[in-house]
Amino acid sequence: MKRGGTCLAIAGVSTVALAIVLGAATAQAASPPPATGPAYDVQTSNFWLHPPDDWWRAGENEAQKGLVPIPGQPIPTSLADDEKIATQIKVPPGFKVSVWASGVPQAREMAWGDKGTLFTGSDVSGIISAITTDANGKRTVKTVLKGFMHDTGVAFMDHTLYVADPWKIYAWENPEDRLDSLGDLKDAKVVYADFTHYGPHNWKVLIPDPADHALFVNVGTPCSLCIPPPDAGQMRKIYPATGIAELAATGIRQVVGGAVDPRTGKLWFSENGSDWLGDDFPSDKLEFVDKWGSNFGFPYCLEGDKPEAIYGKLHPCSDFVPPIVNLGAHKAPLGMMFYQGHQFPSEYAWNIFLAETGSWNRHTKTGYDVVRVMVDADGKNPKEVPFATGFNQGDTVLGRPVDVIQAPDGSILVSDDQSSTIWQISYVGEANTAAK
Amino acid sequence: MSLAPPRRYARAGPFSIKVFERMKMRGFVAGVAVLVAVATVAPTAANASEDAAAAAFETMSFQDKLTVCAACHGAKGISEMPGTPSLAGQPVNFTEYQLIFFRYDQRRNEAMTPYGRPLTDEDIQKFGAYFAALPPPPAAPDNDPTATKAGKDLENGHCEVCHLRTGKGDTPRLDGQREDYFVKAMQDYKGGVRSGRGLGVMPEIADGMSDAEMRELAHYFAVQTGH
Repeated sequence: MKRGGTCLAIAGVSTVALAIVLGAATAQAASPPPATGPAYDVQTSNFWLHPPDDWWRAGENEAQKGLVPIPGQPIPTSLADDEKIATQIKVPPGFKVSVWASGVPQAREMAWGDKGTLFTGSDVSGIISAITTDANGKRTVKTVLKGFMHDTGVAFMDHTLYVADPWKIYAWENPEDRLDSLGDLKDAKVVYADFTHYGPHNWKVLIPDPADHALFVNVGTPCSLCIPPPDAGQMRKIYPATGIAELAATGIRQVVGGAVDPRTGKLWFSENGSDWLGDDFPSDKLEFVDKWGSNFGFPYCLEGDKPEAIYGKLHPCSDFVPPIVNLGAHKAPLGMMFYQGHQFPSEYAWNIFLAETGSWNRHTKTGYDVVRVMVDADGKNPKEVPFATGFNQGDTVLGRPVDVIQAPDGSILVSDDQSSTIWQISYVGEANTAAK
Repeated sequence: MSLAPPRRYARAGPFSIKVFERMKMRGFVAGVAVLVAVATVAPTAANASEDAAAAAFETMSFQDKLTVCAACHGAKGISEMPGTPSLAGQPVNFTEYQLIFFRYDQRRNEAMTPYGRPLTDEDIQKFGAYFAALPPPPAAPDNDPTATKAGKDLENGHCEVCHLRTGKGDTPRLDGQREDYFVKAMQDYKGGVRSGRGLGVMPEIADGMSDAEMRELAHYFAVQTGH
């Protein structure tokens, strides 16, 4: 059987199937323009488990034809170029941007070890970088693990480094004592691997819950717009000590970042909305799991209150939990944190910082920034404002923020897998910053 | 139904002696120096011979490194060596990613892995730019129009969706590539020797192909001029 033949299935099979379920179809919310992309049947396990390399083109239409994901830079941007980029990032008065570490290949989710080491993962380079700082403040970046497929999930908890590859979560205990000899991946301990081997959206993020010795992890929906199989489109809470997993939230498209609020023990996460439905729809979201097992509505209800053109007929928006904030379409929000430091002015206490890696499925770029969300611990009174902008200058991409983490001095670090840099944003006081 | 994750490749054997012989014929001093270092180490100790080759290569200037590449991949990136690909005209990102995969052991090849290990980011960028700028290989003369037609019917748009004919992107240029290398690459994907990027789509594609189909596609692409 030639695999090529299976890729180009007849168009509209899933729509026909759905029409049978729904009975006579009537017009819903505005449908996208006629399809121009490959006729992939996304509502099948064949697409999910054996996806074509351009699975992201499913749904391509006349209005947005030609948009393609941004290729990842294989090689880090040089330190000299990084320092120029740092001067182009705009931050509020009193703040300053600098290069914390350069040449960190495809830097992704970050985690601090117990002994001052910063660990980060990568995209297809498939490595873990460890960044150590000596007594003089000099930073050294080294590759300490390699051989992963797409290791975007990294967490450190209970003296253990956890790394999530698409279908496995690995663990190394007390890694900082033996950074040069963490060993081969084939010998590594696997604490959880109960994932179906879906292709699209299979990359993972790890969100630690130290109080419960657990990790929240995403299982992405294996398409842009479809009813996910029951073991995808969700957040699980995994207990590495036992391998037990709970279903924390459902009705989710794809999550690549989140944080547990230590004040409440509850999970917050960013969610990425569908492609090919227009430059300005649907919005990406900031979600709050106030009630365990909440269903956030995908694919039936988008933006919290807009029934999807086809799937909205199956369940009303009132069945689902709306977002705390609609962030805007195609921002691609990823890592987030709650600020708990004392370097920033007091009005920043407990604010959320959220990295938006930026758009590919939009005619003019959006996102490519770090935003700040002020919101109460119960989710009330949200307000979103830009915090660090300028990672794109028009169509030119200087960097793509991925994750944010607080540094011991109360500054925040921002990982960037396009320039392969870790940026630092510090508060130095308004008297100390040059006029912008 | 579940799919095995992209397969890991087999461990490489001892460093190949055939490269040494060819370079002696061409009299490339730099290359001979590398391979003398290799030949003096016990050939059964795969890691030791790799270490020696990597150490020697690491100290070379970029121009001398290019000489080592040329010994197998051809003076203008057009390979005359069986089983070794032409690199001329390959997209920048493709060359850079393959070198990164050799560096991080994502891809193992007995001839390439020792050279991949010591590469710096600067080396990789220079190699990417160098090969992308070389004129691509010309179309091979078509001595088998039947195979060309068979290959064209097989291709039927499935390959060019990713293997763009524009010279852009991350996916390798197939037009004008050596037929024997194309078949080797497909066999490597099918046999789990090589996993490729992303979701393991190349092993999936190769898995469903017969030897005859691989040869027909190889011939079809070899006689194309592309962009």
